[in-house]
Amino acid sequence: MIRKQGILTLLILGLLSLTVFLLLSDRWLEGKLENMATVANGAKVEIDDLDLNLFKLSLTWQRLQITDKNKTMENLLETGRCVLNFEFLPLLSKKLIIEEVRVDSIRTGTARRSDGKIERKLAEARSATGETIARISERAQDESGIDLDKFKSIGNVDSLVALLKLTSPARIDSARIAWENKFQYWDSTYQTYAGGQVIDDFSTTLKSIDPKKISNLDDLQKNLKKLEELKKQYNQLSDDLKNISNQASTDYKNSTGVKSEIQNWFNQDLKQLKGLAKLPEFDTFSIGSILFGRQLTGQVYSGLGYVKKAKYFKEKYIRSEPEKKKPPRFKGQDIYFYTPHARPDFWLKKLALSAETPGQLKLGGELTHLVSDQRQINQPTEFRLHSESRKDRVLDFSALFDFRQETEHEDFKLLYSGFSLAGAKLTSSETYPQSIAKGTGQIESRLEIHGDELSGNLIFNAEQLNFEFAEVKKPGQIRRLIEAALQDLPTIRVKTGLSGTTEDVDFSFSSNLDKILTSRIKEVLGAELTRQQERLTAELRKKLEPYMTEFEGWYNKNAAKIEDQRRALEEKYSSALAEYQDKKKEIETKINKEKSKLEDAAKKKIKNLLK
Amino acid sequence: MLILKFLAKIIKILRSGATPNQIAGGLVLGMIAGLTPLFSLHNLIVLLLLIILNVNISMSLVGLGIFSAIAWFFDPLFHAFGYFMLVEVDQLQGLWTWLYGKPVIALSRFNNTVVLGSLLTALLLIVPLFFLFKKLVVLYREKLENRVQKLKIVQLLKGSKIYELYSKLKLWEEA
Repeated sequence: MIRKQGILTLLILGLLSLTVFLLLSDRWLEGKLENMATVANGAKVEIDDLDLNLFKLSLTWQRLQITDKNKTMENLLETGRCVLNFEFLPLLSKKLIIEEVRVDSIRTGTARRSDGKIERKLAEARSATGETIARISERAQDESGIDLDKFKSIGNVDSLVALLKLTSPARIDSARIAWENKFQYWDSTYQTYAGGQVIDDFSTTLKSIDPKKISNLDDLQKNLKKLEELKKQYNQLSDDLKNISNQASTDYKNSTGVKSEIQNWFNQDLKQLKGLAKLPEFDTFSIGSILFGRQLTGQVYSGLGYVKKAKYFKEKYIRSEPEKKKPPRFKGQDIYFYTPHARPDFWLKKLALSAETPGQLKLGGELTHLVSDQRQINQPTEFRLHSESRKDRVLDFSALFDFRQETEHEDFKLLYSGFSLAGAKLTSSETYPQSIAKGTGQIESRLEIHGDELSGNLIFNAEQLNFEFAEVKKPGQIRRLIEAALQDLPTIRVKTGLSGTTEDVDFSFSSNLDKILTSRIKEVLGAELTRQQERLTAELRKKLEPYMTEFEGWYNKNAAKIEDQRRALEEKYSSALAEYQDKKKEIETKINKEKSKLEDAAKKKIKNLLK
Repeated sequence: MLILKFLAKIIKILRSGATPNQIAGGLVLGMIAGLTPLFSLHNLIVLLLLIILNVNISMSLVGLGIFSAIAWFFDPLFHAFGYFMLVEVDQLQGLWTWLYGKPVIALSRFNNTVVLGSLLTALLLIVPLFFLFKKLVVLYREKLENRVQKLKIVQLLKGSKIYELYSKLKLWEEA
């Protein structure tokens, strides 16, 4: 049964495999790592001269280039020589334990010789990130796009309203259909309510008991007991009625909600109308959002992108029960088994790095405990990066990733000051500055993430600013006003509040210029703007009022009808209950009378016997 | 045409001097490699067995081809079976956790749903399929061989290149 030549073949095959492995393992591993990292990065990642030495248990590369996926002719990061040493025995258990890695000469923004772009097979779905940036950009565009200097009075409002595709009537119609169903539901609920019959039966039984006609004490007590039994059943009905009443309250009785909903639809139509009339609208003029909103939002989301990548291990390893996925054919799904005191599958104990930014800012930092499962070493992952030179420019960044508990916690702090803002593009409007010619910036930010909830702030200070406006022959009044305001203030301070989830962040912008500019612009556009806004509002109201009034009337009538049904049922219940109380009292009184009669008779008999 | 050549190859193997045990053994080893993801540690063991044991290598290649195609269709079921065994059977959690930390075994990718699902299926099928294949070979040789050989298509295919290739492989096996 044993093939002798087979053993020889096996030995030859083994030797051949070992030779091939020793000769090609570096290239194979290099290719494999490059592919994996390229997919993760979304643009080319290249490793030069990777050397895996299984005798020395070390991995070395001469250069690593990570392409910036937004500018594929530039590297996001480039490193010099890097050496890392790993342990052998854990490899047999599919674990990679790295004691220390030192990466020097990290540079950012270096030019690439070839394009680092990769072809994406699938079109990227529009992410929430993209949508938020687009939304903020759109908002800023809306505000900056309306040329306040070219604002004129609106001519014929009627023709404008005619041009507008009103959404409120259609919305009111659909709301009416939805409410009609609800009213029908409540109408049939009250009409076919089984409890009504229970109340009737209870009432009939009560009426059938007439204590005056009962003279026997036993019969009286029996009837009292019967009443008490009935009351127990009746009590259950009370809970049922309360539930129905509560449901109804949250459903149709909330007429204020309906009114505010209609008002919202009206406001949305009004906003469209104002847009059509090119009528500027601002309660607070957010210059911070217009000038820096897009950049700041982009930076926050780019940071959150890295946070998501940092969560890779958390997603893969730390979950109570792995969610069943639908993997591609032959790929399957890897299931991780947690052992409390075992060594983790991956553990990079310390990564020390030194880097230099394109602006010659020298940085030093370290990453500690990058680990597949933090629970096994009971340490969070920490990253610190700080500037080492140039006192006028400071960078201090720290990040903490704690995935040891069920709800993960991440904390980020950033202080970056003294960086140049020269050349930063702002808007394409003629009213607002288009770019910054000169200036320095400072960003101070704190961000905390608990689970998916996010909160934090970002304070951006821009100093010694010199803006560049579009060249126009005769600048308008608002443009001059903005130019003056920007020149008057030596510093623009934009405060950005962050809240929401990591998928959909809510940004709120405020700046030290907002109040001043709002009041100054309102002064300039003043009464005319208010008058025009009122004209539009009145005209739209005239058009929509019949729909709104008719719907409100119809709604109130139906709500009142259902309310009457509810009240009638509750009154019926209460009156039966009152009747029960009276009847019970009457029977109890009679029982007491009968008892005292019997006692008197008994006393008499005893007296007669003793005589 | 390809299917016909493939059938001819099977017929030729069945006619060869290989014993039913060797043919069934080869098929079963091919079945394991075919049903499970090819580049897995256990398939290295299958390869070692294939080289060391005197089984019919050609038949294992046939088995590999047939069962790889079957595996493509059954992959979702293997995934579901593997997931069930790895996640949903509470009694086995201790075993999997223990194996997960063991050197070498951890490299087998047993914690992958498709690897485990398909491997367990293959292991369950080894004994019944071995005897079934053996019986089929005996049945073929006793009752069908003469009739099949007389078929024109078989005569035609006997002269094809694939037959030449097989003959060379057979000579190597017999050496």
